Amino acid sequence: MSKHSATRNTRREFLQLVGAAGVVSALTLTGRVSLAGSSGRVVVVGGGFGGATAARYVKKFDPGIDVTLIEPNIEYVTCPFSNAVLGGIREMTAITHAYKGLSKAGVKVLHDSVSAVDPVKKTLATKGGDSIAYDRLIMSPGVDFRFEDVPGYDEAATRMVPHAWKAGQQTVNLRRQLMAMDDGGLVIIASPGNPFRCPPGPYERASLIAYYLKHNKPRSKLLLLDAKSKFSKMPLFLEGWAIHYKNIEWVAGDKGGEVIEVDAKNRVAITDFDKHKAAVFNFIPPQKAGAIAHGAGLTDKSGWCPVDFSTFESTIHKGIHVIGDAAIVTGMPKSGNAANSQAKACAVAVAALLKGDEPTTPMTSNTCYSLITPEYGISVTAVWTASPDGYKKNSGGVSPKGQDAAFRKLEATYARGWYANISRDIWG
Amino acid sequence: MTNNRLVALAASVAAAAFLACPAAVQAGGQFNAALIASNCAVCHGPGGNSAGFTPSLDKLTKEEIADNLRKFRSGEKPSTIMRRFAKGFSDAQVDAIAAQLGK
Ligand SMILES: Cc1cc2nc3c(=O)[nH]c(=O)nc-3n(C[C@H](O)[C@H](O)[C@H](O)COP(=O)(O)OP(=O)(O)OC[C@H]3O[C@@H](n4cnc5c(N)ncnc54)[C@H](O)[C@@H]3O)c2cc1C
Ligand code: HEC
Repeated sequence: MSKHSATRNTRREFLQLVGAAGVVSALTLTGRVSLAGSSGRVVVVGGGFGGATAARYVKKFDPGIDVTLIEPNIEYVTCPFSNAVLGGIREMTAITHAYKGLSKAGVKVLHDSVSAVDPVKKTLATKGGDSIAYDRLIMSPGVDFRFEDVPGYDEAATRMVPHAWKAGQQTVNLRRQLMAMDDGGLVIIASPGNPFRCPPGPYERASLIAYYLKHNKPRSKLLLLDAKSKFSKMPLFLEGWAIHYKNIEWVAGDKGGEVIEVDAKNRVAITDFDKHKAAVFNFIPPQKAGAIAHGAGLTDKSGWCPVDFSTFESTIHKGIHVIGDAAIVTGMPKSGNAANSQAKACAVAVAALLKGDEPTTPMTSNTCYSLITPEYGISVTAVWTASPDGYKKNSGGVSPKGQDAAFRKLEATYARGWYANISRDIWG
Repeated sequence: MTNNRLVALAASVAAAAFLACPAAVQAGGQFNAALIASNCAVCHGPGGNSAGFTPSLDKLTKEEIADNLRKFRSGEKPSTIMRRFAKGFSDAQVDAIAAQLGK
């Protein structure tokens, strides 16, 4: 109840703000110079890694632009470091962020959900009943799951068999199941085929759950069933597992690892050859762009959104930019850091386009740290330059193999530094 | 204000690089130094002010930042990650990034 009224209040405040902005543009139309230097209205959909960064950086690169961020949740729970919560080495509160910092930075934050977009009239409709006009729209809705591709797995099944691939209640659910499990119980993680959000994520998760099992349920094992036969940072994960974990068994896609059906009630993973019964079953489903990207007609046959690589403007609908997991950004992985970097490049382009300037060729970067234990970190990094057919790598690579414990410990420390600082860069 | 200054600087640095350094332009094209430098924030904190674990950059001069980046790039200064990262930048870009972030 109180949550509901909080949302309504926010909406009312928001409408007042919109009213004020409306007056400003009316004055501009009648030829009076506006003090706000109103150079256009940007609306951002989604307050995650891509959207919250874009909103902040459009404002930063051109404070005269009126920026509104629309996000249904009052707080955002990050997927990064949610595997640490599953491993019992971090609290949920430490991966939860509010939007006060963005409001302070001059972004109007509206807690509502976008239900429709009209790319011709340049307006969008919200569930709360508002109609909002934009000059440029930036969408970063993240992913949704292809429930239609996996018999036996749907929204209802996620309670028994959590995906925990959007952090929040799902993370808590999986953590509770792990804690409640008897010593000796089998944990299964099923990892999807490419492309999906966070390529090293399932392997970091396997590591940190194995860490929890090793110290709390030493008779338990973890079975990692994979649709793929190769994965991100594979030699480094295998090296780390050989040192730390005898309790992980990985079954590659070409060895029958792909889970093609789920029996949620009995927590059974079904592959072409076998049925595996789990005590705790974490199924990571195949993915597609977030629902609103489909609703707005921004996706192609692949289920993701094609964009121009230097501006992130949709190649389907002009005036709408798509960034982050939902977008097809050839050369770059689907990660929080990549979404953050794309958002900054998109913010520069949007500010330039609103001014009528020619956009520059953007450079982006990404680093994905993974923890194998709390004191053993590995990384993959890259710097890219945009080209007409995708992002071309200038440099990068994975951590060297065969390093000593001190080197791995340093990278585990820097992984925490990355988390603390990217969180401040976005929501701080 | 800082941000306005950043954007203005970015434009002028890009323009200066364009005029004074045709070779770099041919090699790397025109670039936006403020944009590149904004990507350092994810590890070093907003404006190079780190929350901990990773070193802060906000006490370094632009000469020190450029010098560090060149030494990471060549391997003269050992690193866990900066070598892999800094190798992505040309000399002109290193100087422009340092001008953005340095004291
Ligand atoms: C277990 C795990 C670990 C990970 N670890 C890392 C890591 O260490 N490093 C890293 O870089 N990445 C990591 N990632 C990946 C990272 O979480 C994603 O790549 C990142 O969240 C993508 O950002 P985004 O903005 O595209 O989507 P999201 O961050 O998912 O944001 C989408 C937002 O849009 C909102 N939204 C959706 N629909 C609407 C609508 N109709 N109206 C309004 N708002 C809407 C949602 O509520 C959400 O807040 C990890 C992912 C997982 C699952
Ligand atoms: C992925 C995280 C990451 C990113 C992104 C990153 N750095 Fe670093 N930086 C580090 C780490 C970690 C160190 C410590 C050396 C090492 O182990 O690599 C470091 C060290 C440095 C140092 C030396 C500081 C000192 O006092 O010794 C400088 C200068 C520096 N970085 C500049 C930059 C600049 C400029 C950028 C952006 C172009 C950048 N870094 C981007 C992680 C990062």
